[in-house]
Order: sequence, then structure tokens, then C-alpha cells
Amino acid sequence: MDTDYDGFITTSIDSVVNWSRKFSLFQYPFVTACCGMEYMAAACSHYDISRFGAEIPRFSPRQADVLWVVGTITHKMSPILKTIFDQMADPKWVIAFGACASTGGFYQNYSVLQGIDRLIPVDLYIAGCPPRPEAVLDGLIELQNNIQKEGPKPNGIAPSAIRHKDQKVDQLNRYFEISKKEVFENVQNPKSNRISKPGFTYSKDYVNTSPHIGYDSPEMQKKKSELKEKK
Amino acid sequence: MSESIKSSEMNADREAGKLTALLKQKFPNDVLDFHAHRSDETVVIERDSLDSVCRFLRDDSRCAFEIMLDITAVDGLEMNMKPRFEVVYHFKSLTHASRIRLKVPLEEDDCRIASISHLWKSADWYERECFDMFGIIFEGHPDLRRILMYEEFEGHPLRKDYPIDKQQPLMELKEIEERHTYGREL
Repeated sequence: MDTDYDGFITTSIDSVVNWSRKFSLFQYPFVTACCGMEYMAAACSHYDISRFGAEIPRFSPRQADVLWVVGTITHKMSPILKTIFDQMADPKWVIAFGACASTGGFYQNYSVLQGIDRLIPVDLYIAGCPPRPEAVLDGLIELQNNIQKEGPKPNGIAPSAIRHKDQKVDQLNRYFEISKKEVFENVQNPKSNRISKPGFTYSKDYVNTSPHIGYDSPEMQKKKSELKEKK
Repeated sequence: MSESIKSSEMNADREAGKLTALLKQKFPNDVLDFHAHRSDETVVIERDSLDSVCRFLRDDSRCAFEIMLDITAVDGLEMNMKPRFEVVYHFKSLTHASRIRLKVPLEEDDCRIASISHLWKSADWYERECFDMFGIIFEGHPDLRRILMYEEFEGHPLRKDYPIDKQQPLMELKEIEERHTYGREL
């Protein structure tokens, strides 16, 4: 083959390998708290995480690609988590699932680790207490995009793990910032790769877009304004 | 309105129930105080009499408290309670379908109390928990170690003078500022 195309071939192979990686993520769920329920919901047939290739939870870290840290991690548990992370074979990724794993959540006391990123590198944070299954799927897709874009690094820490604190905050905020356009005009946010919006679907016909009045239907609005006039 | 309710409840509180009367009759010098709320009786007793009172509650056929429900403590530092600590015992009788609560005040300088784990096996871990969280020493306990916290932990976290957000990590943790580097150059 012509040597000019060497570069082209390697990048293509990387892309293919990354593509296969992102659709065959074997998971290790490290479930410690109530977030586990949402993880189970996401994993079961209703939300069906296997649609995204993350089908099988492996209950040995040695067979897993993704470590889901689902729930509160205490200081007493931190050596165990570290051991499990070290036992995973490269390439590996870590997802901090929910408020407690990301930041310690509402526990700021003697026992709880204030975010697992103080202990192990985290590739993705999913906000919520607990996150809805849609948010979980959203996070998984985000991770898949990262894998496709960046791929693994030989020393086990994906480049996406090297992020600044502000980036973490941005990523966590992302789940709370459904833009107004998305809500009121029922338009998918181009930044977001959500399949369905978390919680509800809005439609322009049933949403009153003026502020401070709430989400009344046009009929209800008429009734309310009539009542006001009577007063 | 609230005052009238309060006074009527106060009057009800001062009526000694059956068990209280029994304990007062049996241990006249050791019952420091008592009250009752909707037939749930509470008796405050002297520390040194705990063993004999518990034995009486378990073995006497009029009491027959077969089940030790709970042992916990109260730190009254911010309520200016004197003495500072109070150990609380809950018992339940299946025979008479009754409950009783014992309270034992403890001085801060001398946080020692007799273990009752030889009377009720279930007291074993409750006493360990109470020791772990409040630093109350149960004398005669077979194995008084920490049960919830790790051995390296210093102090007793549920004492009110333990700083509320003081942490004692087991592993070496990254500082918040250098979290993103993980020891590598960016």
C-alpha cells in the first residue's frame, strides 16, 4: 500500500476500535445506596440499557470496562473502592452516579467521602438525587461519545478524566439546564443528546409561556382571566 | 390553648404507672425521677443500681421484659443538661405487651456504666455502637470495640463537641484544587 495513506489507516483503525469499544461496555456496578434502584430501572427492560451496548453487569472488576459508582461512598469503604478500581483491566472508565458519588451530596459529616474524584479519576458525572433513568442513559451516551472521540490512554486514565473542577460543575449543571426553547417549543436542544426529556414532555399547545403564571392551558388561562375581571 | 394542653399532659405525666410504682417500691433509693406519656413509662435510675434493676425487670414475673429493644445515649452539651450524658434503655415484654424506658444519667468525667450484655445478648452490639458514637464505656462488656467506625478513627462522632464536618480519611485524598491532574502534567 502507498505509504502516504499510513496516517489515514491508523486513524481509521482507531475509530473502528473505539466504535467497538463504546458499544461493548461491560459494567461493574458498585452499588451502595438508593441510587441503585435507579440503576436497576435503567438496566431492566423498561429503559433497557442494553440498547446502548452496555448490556451485561460483570460482578468481577477484572472483566469490566466501566465502573459505575452508584451511591454514597464512606471513608470506611474508600480502600475497597480503590482496590476495585485498581483491579480493573485497561482500558477502563469511571462514572460517578448521582449526587453522593459526585460530591458527597447532602452528607457533609464525619463519615462520607466528599466525591469519589478525590480518590479515583472520574470520566463522567451524572447529577441527580437519584438521577432518573433518562439521565443515566444520557450519561452513558455522553461517555460513549467521549470514547469514540478520545479513546483510551495506555496508563488507564482516559483524557476525559483530566478535567478541571469547573468542567465538573458544568457537567453536573447540564442536567438542570433544560433550555427554555427546549421546554416551551418542544425542540430538542442541539447540545443535548437526550432521547427523551427527563420527566415530562412539553407541548406548545398546553404550555403558557408567560412567566409567573405557571403551566396553564389556554382554556384555563381564559377562565382565570375571567375570574380576575369579575373581581 | 397550648398551655392548657401542656398542663393536662403534665398532670398525666406525673402519674406513676404500674411498673414505675413497682420499681419505686422495690428500689426506693435508686429511682431518681419518672414520667409517663400515654402509658409509656420512663424511669430515671441511679447508675450503680442498673444491673439489679435490669435483672429485676427481666426475671420478675410482673415485669418479664424478655426483649432488649435499644440502647442509645443523649449528649446534652448544647442543652446544658446536668449531668451531660444520659444512657437510654428500651425494653419490651411480650408476656404483658408492655414497654418501659430506663434512663441513666452519666457525668462527663466518669462515662462508665455496667454492661447488661450478660442479661440480654442483644445488648452486645448496641453497647458497642453506643461506645463508638458517644464514648461511653460499658464495664464488663466482652468485646468493647468500635462497630461502625474504623479503628483508626479518633474521637466519638455523635458527641456534640465533635466538629460537624471533621473527616478522618483512611486513604490519601487529592485536594480539590489538584483533582484534575492526578499527579500528571496536563
